[in-house]
Amino acid sequence: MLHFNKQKLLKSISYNEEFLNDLMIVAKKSLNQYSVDLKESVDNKDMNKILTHAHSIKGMAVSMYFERLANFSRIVENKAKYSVYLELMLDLPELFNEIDYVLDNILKDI
Amino acid sequence: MIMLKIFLVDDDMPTAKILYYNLSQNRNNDVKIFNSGHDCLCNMHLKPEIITLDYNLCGESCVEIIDRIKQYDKEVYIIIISGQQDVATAVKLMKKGIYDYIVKDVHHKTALNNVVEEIRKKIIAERQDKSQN
Repeated sequence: MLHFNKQKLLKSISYNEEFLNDLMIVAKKSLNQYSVDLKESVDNKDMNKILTHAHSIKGMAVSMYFERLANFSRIVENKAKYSVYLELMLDLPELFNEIDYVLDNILKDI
Repeated sequence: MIMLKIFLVDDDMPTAKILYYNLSQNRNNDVKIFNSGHDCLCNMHLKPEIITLDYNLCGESCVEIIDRIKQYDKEVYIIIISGQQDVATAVKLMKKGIYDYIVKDVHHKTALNNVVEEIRKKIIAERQDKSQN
């Protein structure tokens, strides 16, 4: 599983590099916002909002082929869905680490 | 070939842009993006043939949006795109009159293109029937 499967994303957009750059700009903006929203809902221990924001991150990650991010957000979403709070708290650091990785490495120079 | 007006409703911009790009590869698709169900409803006068709706639109009830779309135009084809592989939800929405339910995975772009082409064929057939009667 890759942090970013660029080849698959490029293939899905007919290898249009200009559009890829456009997508990366939009993805950076969205992920920054989702990260802030998720942190706030975790601070407030609001399981419904954790579920909503994890779901949003998953959707974006699947579309962008951020494979590890899609996987970690799916795990957190499922734990939030079934209100498994303690397990959720154990899985959240991996999700936040992956968000940071994507923002600091893949989307850094966008 | 007929031109189809497609409304793409998704509050996640990267996802919306990728779906827009894919659907727009066919020059017979006239695609418009809306970031909320409310924006979509405000533009129903443009008479879309197809509406793709993200199931988890932030802060909005998908079922309510479907009901309001159907109140405006009961003939419009609604396709739900969802991150959840949830049979009960899919069945509930099919009963509400949606045309198809696509799970957001690595194949959903192809699946959406296929469903749109299927609808195009149906619309062509319906129009031929009407013109013959």
